[in-house]
Amino acid sequence: MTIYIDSDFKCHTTPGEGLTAVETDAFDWKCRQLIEGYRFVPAGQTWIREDGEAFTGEMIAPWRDYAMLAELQALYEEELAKQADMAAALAVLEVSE
Amino acid sequence: MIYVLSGGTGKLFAVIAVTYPAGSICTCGGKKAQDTSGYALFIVKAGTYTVECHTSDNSKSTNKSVTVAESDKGKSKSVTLAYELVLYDAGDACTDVTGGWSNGGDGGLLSLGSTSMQIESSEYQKTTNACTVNKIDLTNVATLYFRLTCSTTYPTGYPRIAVDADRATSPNDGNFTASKTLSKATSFITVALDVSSITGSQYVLAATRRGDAGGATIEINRIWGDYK
Repeated sequence: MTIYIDSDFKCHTTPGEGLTAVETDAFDWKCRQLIEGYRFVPAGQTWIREDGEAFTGEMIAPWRDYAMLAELQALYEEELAKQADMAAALAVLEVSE
Repeated sequence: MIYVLSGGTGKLFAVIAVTYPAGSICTCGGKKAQDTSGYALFIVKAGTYTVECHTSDNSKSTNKSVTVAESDKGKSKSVTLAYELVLYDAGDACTDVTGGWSNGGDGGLLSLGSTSMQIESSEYQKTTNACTVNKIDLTNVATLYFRLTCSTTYPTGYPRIAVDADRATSPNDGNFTASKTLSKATSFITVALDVSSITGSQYVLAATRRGDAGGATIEINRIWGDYK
């Protein structure tokens, strides 16, 4: 999938001014809120944390509280499962969407 | 060395036994230990005390809060202060924290040596990792460091360091809680992973997987975290 990173390597799910497109499979099946809570440092680039610690890419790490992101992802997966169940039920009834 | 503190609101006496990095300056409730031996006893009344230590140049510090209740009279409370969370150190698996290290993948080789551990993705399309047996609480950890060598550059052998809720996640994509790909390093280098926004417990691991381009060998001699 394509994500878009800003100058602080924070991820975005839609293109915008100043954002760089990056292809990655790291966020397949992840919800928008989780993706936008992550930082993606591409290979060959370096992110300097506010305390001065340097991190070289490729690194993928949350910048928002991970517990909250995981909860949002769990809700998203629950919703996907409900939709799959509904689609299966409709298929059994031979109802097309 | 034993220090008697006059602070606190209660009556008599309990002991706070502090183990801290030797060479550091240690205080308890503002009272300074008179040496830097790495061990001090503070006799205290009931109350809440901040036990702190720092290096002489103030480049590192850490503290814990200790509450002594009236019911603790005559008892000792132990506090250990550390600047680092050590998970593996030159053959020491730090089992009290990690539970040991094992291969959470579905093949390959993990060798636990006397001074280092090594993973080799020797089986095609199998994941090999060195993974903590226990989940590690990363709530107060800012950075994880791995001191390692690596035989290839990602994506050959898909070498990564990572933290994850699962011990078996394949390293051929980035589907970990946090991860960093590795590059070829024939001598030991230190690689850093940002975990500052991770709360709760995760497995800590280094992983590789043999693909069409081949496998990888990763040798690790130290893994540690810096506290926030």
